[in-house]
Amino acid sequence: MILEKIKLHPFAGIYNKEISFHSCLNIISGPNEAGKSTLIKALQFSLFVPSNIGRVRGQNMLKEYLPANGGDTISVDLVFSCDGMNYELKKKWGGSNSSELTISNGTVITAPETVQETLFMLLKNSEATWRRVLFANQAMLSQTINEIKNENTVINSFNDILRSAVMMQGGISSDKLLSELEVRIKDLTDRWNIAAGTPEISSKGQGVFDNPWKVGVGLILKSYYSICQCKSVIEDRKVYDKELDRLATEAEAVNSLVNELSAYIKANESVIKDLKNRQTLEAQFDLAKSNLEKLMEASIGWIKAEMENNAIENQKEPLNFEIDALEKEMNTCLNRSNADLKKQQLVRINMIQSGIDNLVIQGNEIMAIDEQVFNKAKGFNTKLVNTRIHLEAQKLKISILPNVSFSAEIISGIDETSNVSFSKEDPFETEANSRFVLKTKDFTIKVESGDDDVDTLTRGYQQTEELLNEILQQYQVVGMIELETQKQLFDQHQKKMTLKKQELEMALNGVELEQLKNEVVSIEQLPQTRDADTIKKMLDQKKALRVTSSNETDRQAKEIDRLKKTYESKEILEEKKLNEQLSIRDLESKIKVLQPLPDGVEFADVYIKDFEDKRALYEGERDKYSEIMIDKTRLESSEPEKTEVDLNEDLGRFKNEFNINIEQANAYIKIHNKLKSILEQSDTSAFDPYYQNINKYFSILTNNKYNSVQMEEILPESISGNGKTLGTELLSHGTTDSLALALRLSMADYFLKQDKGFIVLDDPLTDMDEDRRRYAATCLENYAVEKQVFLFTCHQSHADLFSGNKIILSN
Amino acid sequence: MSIKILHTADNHIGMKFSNHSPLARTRLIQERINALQEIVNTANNEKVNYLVVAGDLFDSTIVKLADIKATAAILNGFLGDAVIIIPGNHDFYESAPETLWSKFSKYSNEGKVFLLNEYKLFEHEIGEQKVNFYPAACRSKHSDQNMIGWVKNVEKDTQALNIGIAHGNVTGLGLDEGDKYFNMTADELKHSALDFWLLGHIHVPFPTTGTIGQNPGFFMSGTHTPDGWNRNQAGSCWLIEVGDDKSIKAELLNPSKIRFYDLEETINSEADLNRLKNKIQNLDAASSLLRLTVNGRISEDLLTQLNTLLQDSEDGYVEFLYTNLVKLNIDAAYINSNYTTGSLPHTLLTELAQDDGEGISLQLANDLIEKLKISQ
Repeated sequence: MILEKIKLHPFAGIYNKEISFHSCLNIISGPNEAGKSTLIKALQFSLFVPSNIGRVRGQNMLKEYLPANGGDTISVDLVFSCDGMNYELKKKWGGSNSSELTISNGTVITAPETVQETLFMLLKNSEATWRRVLFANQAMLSQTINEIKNENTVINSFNDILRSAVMMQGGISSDKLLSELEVRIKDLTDRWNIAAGTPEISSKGQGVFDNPWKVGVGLILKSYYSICQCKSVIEDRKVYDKELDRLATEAEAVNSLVNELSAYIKANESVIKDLKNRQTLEAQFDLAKSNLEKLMEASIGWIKAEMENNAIENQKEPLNFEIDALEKEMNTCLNRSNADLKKQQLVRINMIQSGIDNLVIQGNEIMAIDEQVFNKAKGFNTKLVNTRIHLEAQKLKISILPNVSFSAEIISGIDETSNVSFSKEDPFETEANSRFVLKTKDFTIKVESGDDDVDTLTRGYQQTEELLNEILQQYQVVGMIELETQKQLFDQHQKKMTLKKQELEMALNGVELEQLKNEVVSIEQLPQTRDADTIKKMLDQKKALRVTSSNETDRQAKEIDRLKKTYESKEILEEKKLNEQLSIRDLESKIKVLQPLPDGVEFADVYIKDFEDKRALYEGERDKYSEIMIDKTRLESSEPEKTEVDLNEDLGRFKNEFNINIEQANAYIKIHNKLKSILEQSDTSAFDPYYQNINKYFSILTNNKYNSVQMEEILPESISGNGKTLGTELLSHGTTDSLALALRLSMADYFLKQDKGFIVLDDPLTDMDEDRRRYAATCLENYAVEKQVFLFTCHQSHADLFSGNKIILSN
Repeated sequence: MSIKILHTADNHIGMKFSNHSPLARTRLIQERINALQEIVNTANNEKVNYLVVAGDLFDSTIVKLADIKATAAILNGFLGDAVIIIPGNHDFYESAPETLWSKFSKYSNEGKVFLLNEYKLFEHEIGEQKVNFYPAACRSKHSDQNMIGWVKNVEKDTQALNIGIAHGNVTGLGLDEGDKYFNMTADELKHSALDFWLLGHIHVPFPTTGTIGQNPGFFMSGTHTPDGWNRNQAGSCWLIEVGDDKSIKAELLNPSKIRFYDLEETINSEADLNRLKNKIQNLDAASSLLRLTVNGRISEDLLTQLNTLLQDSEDGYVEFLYTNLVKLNIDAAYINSNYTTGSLPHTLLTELAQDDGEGISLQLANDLIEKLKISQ
């Protein structure tokens, strides 16, 4: 695009001015306030600001450029050519805004948007490119560079300005952009699994809502936890509401029952009280009545016992008399009935007595042997026999073999003494009992067996034999056997006598014979009686009656004793009776005033039990109600602050927040991916012409003193020439301005490429010394051969350095 | 003679408004009292016979004593024949001592204000006209059973005006997905053989037309002053006039100026922005709560204007909440005017615009670049 003519009518302080331009170098000079900046602004307005700019923005932008003498509209016309076509642009801003673009082919465009779109198309570069590169304020650049000398930190500002002007980065560090994106992605997605749409879960299960991450929680997870928390609170709220409903319903049901029971109890309480009193009083009444009956009974019994006792006592004497009579009659009767027996007894006794008399006669013929004497004799005899047996048991065998004949007295045993003649031809052999004595005239031979003193024995034997013989002689018997026979006869007689006497005694039965005889005689004289059975029966009856009477007397006596023990006396008993009667009357009057059973109630017990059951139920339900109300109050004190509606609103907000976070995270991830892709695809060699042009222009601008600029990415790092290298921070103002101009021209080349176009430079030579200005003028004149250049300056001397179209502005 | 009834419900005195700012909260809480006073004033001016509260006079069974007293005092000021109240599901009836209604009864005029908590006929007379009320109070917050079942079994005096009062959802009118809000059906109401029902619960009026000339069978009063962002309507109550022949004339009144506006606007042009501006400016800010969500794509200039509009609108409203989702219209022109051709931002934004012209990535990328530009 080549600018040919501009007309400001009006624009800021210029009311109506038309300026024509050359297609190469245009030097616009004039003192301060002459309108240079206005002209630059008018150019920018006409190219970049649509006539229908928004009100707010428009007001802000336009107020500076509205006509100083009034009016709400500014207007700029611009004539330019581009790619072989001519264009006439007319724009008005403010009160009556409009756009009109007339093309040499006859086309006229008036829609502001379309006009603007067409202009950008023709400009080929973005507005920003034009504003920052092709409309650069060189003075600002120079000024900034100057500051570098004094303030190292200003290097950053310098870099900023350069950076903002440099094409690739557009003022933005790709690293910072990437880093910022990563920070934002991290801030959003920390501990959140984007792919799974869930929190990251550790091996220990940390991450879920119930076991959340405590640190490093990104915004997505934070909003996710908020949702979970809110849902949990909503559930709590629901549980609360449900529990409150339950308690309220239960309380209402229980309270309703309590009220119903309370009303029932209230209505029936006095009746029940009377009924209970009635029961008590009736029990007391029954007891009193029973007591009275007992007292009555005792009283009657007492009198009756006494009366009966008296009656029995009165009957006692005649009865005894009757019994005595009957017993006598019975005796008489029995005696009479015994008379025959007694007679028989008497006969028998007489017979026995006769037998005894015979035995006495027989006894006179039998020798009476004294038992003691007999036993003595018997003892002697036994002794004799035993002594003989003892001696005979000790046999001696004697053999005498004489060589000569002789005679001798021989004593063998105790009593056998014999004279024996011995001869040679006749040997003597014998046996002797215990002793053998051979007495000759010449000698005596004595042989005794064992230890016995046979002589003593023999003498004892003989003495005993003499004593025995004395007894035998006493009884005139020859031997012991006869004595024993006589003794047996005597004993037998004695025995018979004894038996007969015993028989007599038995027959007498303790009665003397004479008495018996008298009895027999007297019985026969006894009066007649009734038969024994009749008498016995009567006697038994009377005796039984007497026993009964006696028992009855005992019984009555005992009863009277018992009554005395119980009641002390009949008077006291009567007093008690009277008291009971009074008590009964009192109870009757009390019972009479009590309320009766309600209608329809048949049994008091059932009614009272029902009442008591209901009262127990009432008390139980009342306690239950209290417990429910305590639970309810406790529950209500913990009422969640927010209602379900509020919480659902919160939940909606949290969900929205979550979705926005997710959306943002995805968007940042997308931006990040896109950015990386762009950076990977970028070809830094594309900027080589830019670097070459910097060297070219800087070499011209420094008259070959420096011919190389070392770039660090987008920024000049140092310059070199003639074997010398200087960091940009060490450059003088002039050199810095030269470098800045070289950068600017290089950038313009880069953006305008082969196209015709223009560059606007605002006082680029201010800080250059004279030589540098000259070099700059040469450089710009050469540059203007290819591109249209607008150089604005307030220094006329600077303008004078240039040939070309000179436009002088004045105040 | 004709009978005049003012029918209200869902007054929710004592509602806490926890999700609102402290200032808005105070105003909303007070407005529920003020609007109730306005109802009583209107009723007195209109010489209404019965002021009927069809449930949820209070927000819960636990309400500050001061609110209970204030409510009782307002209702005591009714000059007509009787105030008839039934407990709703939020202020359900509890027969225990020292509960909401026992406290309320202490302060209300027992000769004028009648709390009908039992399921039995309440007979009243105005001159020779018998008016029978069939109340269906709630005894819990939730129930899958409504409380009107007993009404159909009662023999009706056809000479009397028979009016049912109940609280709960009516199938087709409100949302009761869980079937837990004493749900009634129109058929059930109809077959109870009453002249009409006065209902509460759903917070919006039925019928929806402002003035009606025939008996709709049942009325929903709506809440007397709106209570949340989902209540875009004005607060309401019915003024019902029943003629001798039981003919009905009813007018829907708005006892409260408070309004909630929950708006979502798309701004893609200056015209859209102007429309929004008019909308906002035409609201009575001093009585309005506005929650605004704006989206769309506009130029930087319009975006500035929008932000100014939103910021300027913050003051004056009872509450003003906004979510600005409007994006800068980052098109080729914007990119060209702001970034050097071929620069990294230019390239990045251009490619993002081509990939995802409407997406958030373009917006975020631009925001990020702008931020970095400023920080550098």
